[in-house]
Amino acid sequence: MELSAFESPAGEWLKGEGPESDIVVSSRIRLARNLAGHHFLSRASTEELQDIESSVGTYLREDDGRFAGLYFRMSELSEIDRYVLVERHLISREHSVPEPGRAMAATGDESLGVMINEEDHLRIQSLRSGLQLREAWQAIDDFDTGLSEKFGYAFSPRWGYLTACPTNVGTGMRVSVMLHLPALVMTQEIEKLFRAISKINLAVRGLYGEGTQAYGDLYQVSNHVSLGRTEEKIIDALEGVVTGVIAYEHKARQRILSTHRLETEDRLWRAFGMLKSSRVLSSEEMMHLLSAVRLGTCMNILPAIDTRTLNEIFLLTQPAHLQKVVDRALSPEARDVERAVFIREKLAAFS
Amino acid sequence: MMCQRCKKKRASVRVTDVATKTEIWLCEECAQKEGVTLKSQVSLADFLAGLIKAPVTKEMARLAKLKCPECGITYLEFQSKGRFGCPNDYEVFSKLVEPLLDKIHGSTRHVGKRPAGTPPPADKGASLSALKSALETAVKAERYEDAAKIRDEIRSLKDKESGA
Repeated sequence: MELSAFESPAGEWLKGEGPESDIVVSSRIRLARNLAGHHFLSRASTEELQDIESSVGTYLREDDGRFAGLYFRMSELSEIDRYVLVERHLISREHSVPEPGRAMAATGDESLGVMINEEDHLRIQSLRSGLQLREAWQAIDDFDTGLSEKFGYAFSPRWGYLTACPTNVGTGMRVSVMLHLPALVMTQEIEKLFRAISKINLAVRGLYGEGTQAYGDLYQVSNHVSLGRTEEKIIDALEGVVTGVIAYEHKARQRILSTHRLETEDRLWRAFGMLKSSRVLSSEEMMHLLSAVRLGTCMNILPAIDTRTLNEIFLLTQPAHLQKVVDRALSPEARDVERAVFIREKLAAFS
Repeated sequence: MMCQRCKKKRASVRVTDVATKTEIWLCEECAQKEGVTLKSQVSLADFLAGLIKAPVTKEMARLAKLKCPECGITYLEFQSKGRFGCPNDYEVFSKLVEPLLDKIHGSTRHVGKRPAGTPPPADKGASLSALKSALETAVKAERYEDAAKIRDEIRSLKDKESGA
């Protein structure tokens, strides 16, 4: 698999465009769907799963057509390639295990993606840069309707779309917004905020979903109730909360500037200096420094580095991407050196 | 204290003669010989809980053994893995699934999108107006618990309509 297969080196979710993109990295909607007349994954035979993969795959590549460029069976990809897809948020970590019948598809701009035979037969997702939940919903709604016309879905008028796990039944929908919240982390208000969010039935997760750490001050806020509410209501509720969080982060940014201007400037410039001149840089440290630099550019304290450059640094220095960029396998130690080299080159023009 | 009758075993029961208002301490054996029935150590609350639970547990045990004819999964297997084996399981285990869904989602009814070609839900206009008048009656009669239930039903009906 070549990285050039993707239209943009950083993908839709890291374009850095769209409303509220100084705080909202991306808006994502995923739908869990299963095909009628088939067992769920735990009870399906290998043949059954391969049949599903083959018929859905043909539809996506030929009938729909938008997925012709990016369609991969997990069993045919190298480990590094599978991790490239995880780092791009096109597949989950679970899906990267090359079990029979597992495949993924994405449009060239990565705004629509499909995991075939993950936990459900189909997990389809729609991605947009910035806060664009309605646009993401419109795109996935149309795509989903097309799929349901071609393949009958397992659906009950009573319980909605039937999923392998009852936590997804009903709409089968998970809406999540990725937020960059460095000022709330600095002012130590983040914990309080998350306690409040979890009380209203929403979940907060780290960068790569459930159970992952929030590196680089990036957090995903998502719904976990999928039954008993319409898709629009779920989106409205999440958007309302996210809008509140954005305002809260803006206020925290203003506050640290008015009360601790010198310390803040010093801290952000130091992060910029370290990112620009380090010789060895772990992925975790990179995300930490990059978070400060992103904040510094948004607050007009640091030189204006475009969001796309920052996002490319972020994605292309993740372990699997970095190995694709240098085109050879790297030990973790060697990766830390190559990461520093890559970032120095990217930031050389900025001072 | 030793039993005041046999003087061999430990006394554990105090027997009061209501007529003479005298007390003696007896061991369990002598107490039974005296015709005293010993209450078991079960409290009233436990006793009641047992009454309520017993038939439910039996029913649950029966349901837990149910097997889906489509995929062969039992509810116990589902419980241990957390994943169903096929779409039919929701129907087969519906009595157990409904409380579970209510716990997870706070609801047991889908009101969102339907796949292409699925008939729309039945017209709810008539039952909505019936519910509204029932709500008025309940409020007038100050049956507030009933009123709250009816209000929730109206709300969920309206949600269904806006989502259909």
